[in-house]
Amino acid sequence: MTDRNRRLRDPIHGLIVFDKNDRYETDMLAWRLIQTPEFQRLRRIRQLGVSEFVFPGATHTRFAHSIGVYHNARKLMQVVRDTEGADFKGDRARVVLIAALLHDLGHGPLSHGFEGARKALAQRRGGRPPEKHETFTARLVLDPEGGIRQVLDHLDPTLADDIARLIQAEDPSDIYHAVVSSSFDADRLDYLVRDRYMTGTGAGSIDDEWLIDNLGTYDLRECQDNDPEPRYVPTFVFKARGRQAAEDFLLSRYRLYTQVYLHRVTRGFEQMVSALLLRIAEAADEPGRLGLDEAHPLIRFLRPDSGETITDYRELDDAAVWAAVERLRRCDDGQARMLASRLWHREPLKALDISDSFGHDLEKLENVRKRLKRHTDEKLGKTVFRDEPNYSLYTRAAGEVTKPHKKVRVLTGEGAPWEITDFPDTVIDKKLCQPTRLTRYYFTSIEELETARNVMLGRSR
Amino acid sequence: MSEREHLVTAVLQAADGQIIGRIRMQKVVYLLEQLGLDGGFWFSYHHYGPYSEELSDVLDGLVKREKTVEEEQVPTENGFYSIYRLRSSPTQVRASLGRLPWDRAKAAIQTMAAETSVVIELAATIYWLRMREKVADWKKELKIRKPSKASDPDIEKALALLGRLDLAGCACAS
Repeated sequence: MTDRNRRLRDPIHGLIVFDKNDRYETDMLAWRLIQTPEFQRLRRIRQLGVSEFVFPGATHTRFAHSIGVYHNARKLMQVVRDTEGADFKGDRARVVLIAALLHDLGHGPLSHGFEGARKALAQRRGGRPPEKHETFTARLVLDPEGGIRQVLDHLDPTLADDIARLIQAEDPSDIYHAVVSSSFDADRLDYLVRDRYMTGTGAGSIDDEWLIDNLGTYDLRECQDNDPEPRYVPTFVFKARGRQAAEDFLLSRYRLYTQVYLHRVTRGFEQMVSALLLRIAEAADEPGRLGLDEAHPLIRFLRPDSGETITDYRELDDAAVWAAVERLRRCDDGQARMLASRLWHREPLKALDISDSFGHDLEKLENVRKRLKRHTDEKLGKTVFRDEPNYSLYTRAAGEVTKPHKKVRVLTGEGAPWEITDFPDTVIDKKLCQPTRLTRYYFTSIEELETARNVMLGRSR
Repeated sequence: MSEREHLVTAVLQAADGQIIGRIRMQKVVYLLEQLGLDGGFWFSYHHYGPYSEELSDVLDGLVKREKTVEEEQVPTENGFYSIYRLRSSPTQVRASLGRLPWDRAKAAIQTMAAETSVVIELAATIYWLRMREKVADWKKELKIRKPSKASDPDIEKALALLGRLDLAGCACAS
């Protein structure tokens, strides 16, 4: 299997070569990992979930994305190699590169719809919070019965643990780690370019080759809140020549949020997916009513006593969900049938975007929110759905403090990097760093939408 | 103002009018909730441990809409930190903060204010790992998630803080 170079072709990166003569055997290890059932599962998970209902070309998978991330990670690691010179640690680089390849193993089906359902389910049921996809990734890497662990152990028995630790760490511990955790890491660099290309949106531009060519490294000095003791966070920064391309990169990312990831219609379909999965969870003790077998992976995973095992999780993918949707649209449960049927035939919900209408006036917006909350409370989750995503220039949890290494920084003549929005001639308005909250209501009928619109405008109660 | 806006205003009042740092603010309210505040804030795990988007929204509303709280952004070498401050000194004498007796809440907030933001983050995360995620070897998990913060001395300080807050019974056994 390792007697020749392996090659893949990719619409974003062109030819991706896995080099059999790689000194640390990283490329051939990556190639073997790609063949495992855990990695092949990613072929059946679309990168953007239901976005293809709005952008028909967005059918790319986490499989292609993960290989793209590995390819980018190799390029970024070259920057580290150039910086480190003779001190370059090949073994450490291998851990990071394989973590880049495997970072999405733990993603569930249908992206945010599945995550939203699990979060809502945890709120309803109490008890343990839902495990994050990074935790599932680590569990899949460490699973002694799994294909990933066997391949890793064959080369080095310490690899699986090192990779799992790196994937779960919240901050980079060295500059190698920054390859997969920085404002310009291998993951972002692939998904932004790939999502932009596959959705066909012309938003912004990403000059990735120029950006990588103008990368440097820096140890950021960080004091959390007003703590007196600093910590040093190793990260990538751009050289001055890369500043304009870095601005374009950041704006392109921002536009992808506003135009693609938070698209009103897409988010409506995600609401339906979440509501349907919640309904399955509620009725999991009566699978017959849902037209599903007890052994269906969704039933096994979502029932209250499931324990969220890794065995069940690895069987969950988009194909399993869509197979369930096909049966649910003919089942005895009215709510599940309605939602499944709408998803199957791509019938969008009717949307009312109150942030669009009143976002300029915070007081009015709050009053409208309260009125609509009162008006919709009883129907919420049944025929009415509410979506309140946050976003800002750097993050989706907009009220959370942005990690210092997640901000884009550019070296100045004095040697220290500046955050890109601090330059006096920047084209990025600093206000974009402030959180923006969208509030959207979705309705199953035009009548309910019109009634709610009147409530929103204060015409009736 | 909503009930929650009143509650967060009262938290600031109990903190003598101000709390320094967004991260500290989140963790203070999280630990108060564990003491019995009953503010109803839903916390999930984010980059700095337990975090409530609802709390963040309430603060945002108090700053931007109600204008009863001022957020001063103090510049630092790599960004800024926030100081949340009541715009006027409240005259109201309170018997309780949520469901917590006022004196107990005030003492707890003062105890937390004496610690660094990192130590409070570690304390909140230890509590979360033990009580919410039910992680048996919470110390190992803490070091995996926060390798650059979870030093042994700071873990000791976090445990001592939980002890002073009477939350140690749930957090010390590893």
